[in-house]
Amino acid sequence: MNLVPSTDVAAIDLARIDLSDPALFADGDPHAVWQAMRQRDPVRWQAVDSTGFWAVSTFDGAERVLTDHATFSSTGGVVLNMLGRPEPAQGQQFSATDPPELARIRGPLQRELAMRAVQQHAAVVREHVRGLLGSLSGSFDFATAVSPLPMAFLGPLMGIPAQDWPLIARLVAMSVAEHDPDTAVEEGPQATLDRGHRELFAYLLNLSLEHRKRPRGDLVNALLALPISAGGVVANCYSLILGAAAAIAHVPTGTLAELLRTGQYPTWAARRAHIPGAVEEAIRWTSPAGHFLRTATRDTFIDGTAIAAGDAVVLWIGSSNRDERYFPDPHRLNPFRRGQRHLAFGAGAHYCIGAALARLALRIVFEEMFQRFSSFELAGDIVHVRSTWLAGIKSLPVVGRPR
Amino acid sequence: MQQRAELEGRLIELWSEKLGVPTVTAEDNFFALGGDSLLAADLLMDIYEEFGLEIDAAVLFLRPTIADLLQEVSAV
Repeated sequence: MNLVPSTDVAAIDLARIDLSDPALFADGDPHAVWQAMRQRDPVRWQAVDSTGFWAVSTFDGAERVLTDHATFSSTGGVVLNMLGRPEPAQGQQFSATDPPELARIRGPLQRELAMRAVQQHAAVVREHVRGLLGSLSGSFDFATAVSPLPMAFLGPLMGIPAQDWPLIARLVAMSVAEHDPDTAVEEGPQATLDRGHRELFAYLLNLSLEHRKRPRGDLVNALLALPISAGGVVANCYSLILGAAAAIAHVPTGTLAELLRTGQYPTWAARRAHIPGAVEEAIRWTSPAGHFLRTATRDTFIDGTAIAAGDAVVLWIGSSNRDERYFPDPHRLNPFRRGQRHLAFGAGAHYCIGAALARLALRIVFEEMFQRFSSFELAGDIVHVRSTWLAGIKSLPVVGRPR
Repeated sequence: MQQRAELEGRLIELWSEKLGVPTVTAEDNFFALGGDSLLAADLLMDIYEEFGLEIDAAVLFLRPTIADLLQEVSAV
């Protein structure tokens, strides 16, 4: 999707916009649409066939829904492709479980993923990143080059061997971008989703059986030690993989595309001391996890709009993170922006469990990228992912000049 | 052979119990009967615990019938 608005916001007719249509995100201008929503209709009903959802565009609205767990439940599924379908993993998978039960599953995982635990892996992650970037020069596709990145740090934590990372990456793509022509199977989006999901589930079930027979003291064993079913263990592995593998590589890719558009790459590369702040801004600005779904448990209001018990509510994170009330000049990628939290990792009890790991990995990627390349040039058309959930670029052809 | 018949009978029982469906045949599709991925994982773990049989999960997830599971077991 276009990461900065390029059309006239005033001319957008919101009545004709369909936020459930992946084409809007592949070829349209969602940031212009969201800006129009924040100005005119911040909480808007989006009909989808015989059902629909409330689309929330503001920072305040999204933060309220994310943190008011009693009123907005995760048990009805958390992504749009679950709209109108029962969530089989509710109460068993951390992403589809509400507090207070959530703590039972999340606590042990959180300990495994705490910064202290994760930092032990920093050297390994850096080695992988060097391996990924080190052989690149001349013309290549930056998006393709960094796509194995998430598995390079999640793989070792879950005991997934390197030869399986490309397979996992393909299955994840089928599970989150089922409309994208590069991932969709012939039988259509639903079949793509089903097959990606089932193959990934099968892989993870075999993996958890291996871990049961030969414990490795990693994330999978932490899950196996919990009082949840075999299906619950696999569903949680699935959540960890999807959260990490789908989203993270889109931060450097989207950021590089914008730095090339604005000519800011040399400035960023020259100021390595500012990388931690720059990474945080890159996460806000790219917001790869595009939306979250919740279900209202009782009648309530969001930003003054009445919501009925049972209604689906979708928070557009890309919009909340460009809310001009909190982020002056919101579409500008500004590494010196300080003091304002963003919602790219969510908020409240479901705050991204891998956030510390993601920040660490991204810091390393930016450091290594700036270290290796003195400049890049755009060398072809940028292609955006066709997905309502995953905001990102799948093809960024560049010519890179190593230092 | 007897073991196979015993396994088939037990699989039919397990399916019907997990899915809440009174009659299950060896040709029924697990997902078409209302099964989901979590139940499928539970089922394979039950088979492992009860029979010590490790069936490649891909069989149940991609060819989800009892007939296919039995064929996989006899091939092992």
